[in-house]
Amino acid sequence: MATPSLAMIPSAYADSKVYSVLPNNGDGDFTFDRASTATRVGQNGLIETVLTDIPRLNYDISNGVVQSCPSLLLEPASTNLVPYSQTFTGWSLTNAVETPNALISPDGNLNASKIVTSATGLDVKYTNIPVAANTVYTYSFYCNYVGGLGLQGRFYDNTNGANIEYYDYMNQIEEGKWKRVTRTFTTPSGCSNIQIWYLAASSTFPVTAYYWGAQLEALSYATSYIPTLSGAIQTRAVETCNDAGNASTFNSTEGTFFIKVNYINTTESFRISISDNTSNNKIILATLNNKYYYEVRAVDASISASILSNIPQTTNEVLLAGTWKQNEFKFFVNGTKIGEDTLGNSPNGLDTVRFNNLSTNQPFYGRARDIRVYNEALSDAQLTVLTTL
Amino acid sequence: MTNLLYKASIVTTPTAYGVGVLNSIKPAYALGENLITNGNFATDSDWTKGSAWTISSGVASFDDTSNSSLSQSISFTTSKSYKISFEITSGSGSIAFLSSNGATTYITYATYTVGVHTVDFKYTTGVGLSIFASTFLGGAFSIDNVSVVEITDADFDFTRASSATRVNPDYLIETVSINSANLVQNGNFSEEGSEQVVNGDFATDSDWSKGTGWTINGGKLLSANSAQYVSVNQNILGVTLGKTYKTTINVSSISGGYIVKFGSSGTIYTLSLGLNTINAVWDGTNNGLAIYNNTSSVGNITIDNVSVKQVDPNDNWTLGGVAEFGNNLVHFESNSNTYSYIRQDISSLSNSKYKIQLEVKNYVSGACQVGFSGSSPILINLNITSNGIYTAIVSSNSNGDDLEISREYTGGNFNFDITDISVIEIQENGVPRLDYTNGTASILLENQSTNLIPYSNNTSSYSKANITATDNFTTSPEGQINAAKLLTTSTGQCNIKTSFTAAAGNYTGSIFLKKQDFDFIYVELGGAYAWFNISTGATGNSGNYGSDWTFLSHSVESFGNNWYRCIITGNCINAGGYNFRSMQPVSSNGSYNSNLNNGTTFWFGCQLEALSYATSYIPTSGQSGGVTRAAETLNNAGNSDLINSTEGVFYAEISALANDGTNRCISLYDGTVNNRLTLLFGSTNNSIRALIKSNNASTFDATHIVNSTLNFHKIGVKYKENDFALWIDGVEVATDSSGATPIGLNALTFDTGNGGQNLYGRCKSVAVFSEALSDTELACLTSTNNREIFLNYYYRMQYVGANTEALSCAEQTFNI
Repeated sequence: MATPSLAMIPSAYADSKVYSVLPNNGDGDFTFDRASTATRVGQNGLIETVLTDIPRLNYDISNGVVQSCPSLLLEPASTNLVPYSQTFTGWSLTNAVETPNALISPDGNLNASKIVTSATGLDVKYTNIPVAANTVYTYSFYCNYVGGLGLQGRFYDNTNGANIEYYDYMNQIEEGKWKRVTRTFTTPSGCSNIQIWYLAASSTFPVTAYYWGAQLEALSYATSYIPTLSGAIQTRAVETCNDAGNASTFNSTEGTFFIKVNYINTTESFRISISDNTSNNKIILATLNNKYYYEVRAVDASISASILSNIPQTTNEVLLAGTWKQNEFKFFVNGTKIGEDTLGNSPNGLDTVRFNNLSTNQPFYGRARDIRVYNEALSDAQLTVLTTL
Repeated sequence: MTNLLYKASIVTTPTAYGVGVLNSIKPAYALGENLITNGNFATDSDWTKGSAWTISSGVASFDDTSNSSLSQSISFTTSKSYKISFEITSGSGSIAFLSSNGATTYITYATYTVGVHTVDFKYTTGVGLSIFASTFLGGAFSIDNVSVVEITDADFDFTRASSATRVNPDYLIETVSINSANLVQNGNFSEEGSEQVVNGDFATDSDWSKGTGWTINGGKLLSANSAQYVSVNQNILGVTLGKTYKTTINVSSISGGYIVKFGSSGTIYTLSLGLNTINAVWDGTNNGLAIYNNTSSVGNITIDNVSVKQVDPNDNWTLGGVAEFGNNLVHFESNSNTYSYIRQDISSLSNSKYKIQLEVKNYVSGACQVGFSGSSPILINLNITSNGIYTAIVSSNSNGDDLEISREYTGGNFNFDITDISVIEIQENGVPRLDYTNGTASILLENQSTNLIPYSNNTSSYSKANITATDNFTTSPEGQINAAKLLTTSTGQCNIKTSFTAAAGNYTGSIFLKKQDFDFIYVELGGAYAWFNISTGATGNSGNYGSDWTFLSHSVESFGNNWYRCIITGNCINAGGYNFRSMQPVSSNGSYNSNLNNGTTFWFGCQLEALSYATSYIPTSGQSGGVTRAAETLNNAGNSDLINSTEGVFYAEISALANDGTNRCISLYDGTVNNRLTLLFGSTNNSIRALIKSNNASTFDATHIVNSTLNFHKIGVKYKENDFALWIDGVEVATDSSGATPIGLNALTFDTGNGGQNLYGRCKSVAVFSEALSDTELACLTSTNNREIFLNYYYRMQYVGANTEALSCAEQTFNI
């Protein structure tokens, strides 16, 4: 198979920089930006904080095993609305006993709290979290379950004096292991302040578990952990990763664009593009209408190819490849040719790969494992091999 | 490529070099058969002897009665290199080697003394070897073991008549050099002469004249109740008055005031219990060494051993003033600032730099200078202030070869010791550059260029606006603490600049910058300007103002450790005086103003060249008009055995330094431009061209445009009668099925064949194959394999100082 003109395998980085394997002269390196610290899962499987503008090579944990190769984690801005995310400072406990610093937490430090319930009617709650009404929130926390039954969570609407919901998270935890529990809910109309509860509804006592890393975000999904150690809410800034390549890197006449990624959710549209830094000439591998999508625009922003798969967008790893050539455009997903367009112009002046559409439009959020651009349109057989998991 | 290597007759990669030579890795250095018959003179035969020569007893002898030749016919081949080896077994002779019988085609002429000698030469004309001995300078001598063998290496001759810098394997900028061995003899003053005392261990009762009360018994010298001035003494025959000797006297018991005195009126030294070590000039009037009780009271002493040895026995050092030898050191002490020195003749100083280093011990006061003496001495103050090792780089002195270490006058009275003196010749001219920019080695060849800025790394001569500068503040791309800290003293426009005079034409300014507080820097060259992001290494906006300059380009190069070289090129339309504003920290791309008082940027290596691109860093330190790095040449590799004219492949992995509108060539040729195979970066931007001439007729001429010739490309040209092809990066880009091949190819040169149109660029590899490879082999040869891709990435990541925690994933994943 041909050698890519640009290839980024997340493997090396520096302040504001994600390095590409090809080209070797540095023209294909990405410029990275994040105006805050952030956390990642490091090589040792522990959550750690990285400094401002340091890209995150995140090591996923699969079935309890830290994966040897990282992905480039890119996330939107998000704020953890829960103060003191690693302790129960400010929480009220009824019929429950907290032992702070009782277990090694997911960040590798002895800073997880142990909660033991002693009677029915227990509750562990944080009673004052300002929120916006009619807004989707996701609450997440790390739980290491010891024993007992009936662990539940609850969100309570202080404004309206009513429950938002109870939920059972027993199916998200596992005895003796740290698991991240996530729950997404929508605040009711008029709701401006809520309570967050941990409950034990079972009559079998005691119920024991360790807790760490509480996080409430105004998103429909949980993002990486944002510590709020000082009691104040904390915001992780948005991440951008763009401007790889130049006019010498790419062949506008024909080529192949390949990505291997996990999207951060199943609903939003995300785009990774090669373009001339305008909308006139652009090649996009994307999600659209909860499906995988390939689009080529040439010369005057006219669409040369627009191929939408019928494969539902997931957060699982997906391999997408699109080719361009005069009157020959193909789209492959996970080893299958999705579609082909035999009429259209090639773009001109391609000079940059961006983890978005243009500017800040429809950015990619998720985990990227492999980005490549070839200066030739690969064959169907090659594309099948390239995009097969 | 690995599998193809065995087919290559010449392979050169950036691996080994010396002064004036770049070594090829294939063919391995090899010598042919000995072409001389009876070179060991076993019989009086095979040689034609002149009247002054005889062959006898296994040697040939010259009696110095007349100029005369000893010769033998040999079949040399034109343009091949040969090595003559011989041994002078006695005497010394003025010998000329000639490549013909008695004619005057000199190979070399020199005086040779006893020992084995070699002479390398390239044959041009003649019919044999003649050993021509002259009565002019030499004398009678005998010669043996004469051999002449062909040298079959493909090493290149390299020239550059100046110093130059490179990025070294540690990714630091350095001036390339080859250092000599230590040229100083007895630099730690530890050499001692032979023992001068006879029976110094008192093994027998002899050799010593004993006064009353002195005895020798049981391996000891004893004095029991000896009176004043009653001595034991020995006439030390080997000593020389005025020389310094180290005397040791081991006293195992003592009472009373015993002394030792050298010579009848020499200085006396008091003895004490234990080992007494005295380094002193033998300043008495005779050779006698005497030990006696120097007090009016009787005393007792037992001495185990007495030794006297000359210090610096080979007289390597000359001492002047109050300088005196001590125990493995030289002591300098004066209360009247007396000019004092030590000197040593460092013979055969060349036009080089020398690194002089010494250690100061027991420092109390004073100053010390080092250099070379003569009618116009070159001496540098070492600025010693305490014990420690001090170093100076000193240029050679045309009027004197003596190394001098002396007290420096302005230091006043002095009291210190020195030892461990070394002098290393630093050869900078003619040393090829194996450059590791971006992490992988390449042979860097550049044209002449001048850094027009007199002080490239000293901010004191620069104009500053709202900037304070502290030189030598932090680690620079050289790895030394010699980069400046530039601190803004207000918001608004803060900058540092230097003036220059420009003629009409292209100029390129460059500066190494490292971020502390500002992401963006504004740089202005005459009327051309540009912004640089020194946080990300990206270029920003650019342009020009007025009508005197046109902005041409700007770029950024990473040098690791967050250092970036920011480069701007502009065209001066109207000659005149202008400024190079090398650093103006600003709040954002496009802004002219700093948003931060007390904001820091680090600054190093300002360079301005009258070129359309930046070349390697040329340090300057006050030279009016700047410093010029000379043009480099690389040529004369191989011979007709290694280069097949009938068919073959010429391969090179090269990159250009710029699209500068010139032809830059690398050629196989016959010594002329009439028969050659030339690979070149053409005058058209990003063009690669192959040109073959046979008897001055073009038989293959193909040009291909690549994305950028600034990137490395693997280029192969296949040549065979009626079968020519040009391959670039794994793709056959041109063919020709008719034409003749060049005739008489016998050398590989980095020019067009006549010394012009030199290849200025980078070369990772060049190879010559003596057969026309198949298309599959050419595709393989000119392609990049996965391992190479990963290694290039690996080395680049090391170079830029990236966090490389997952490089193995790139290696695993990059399975193309």
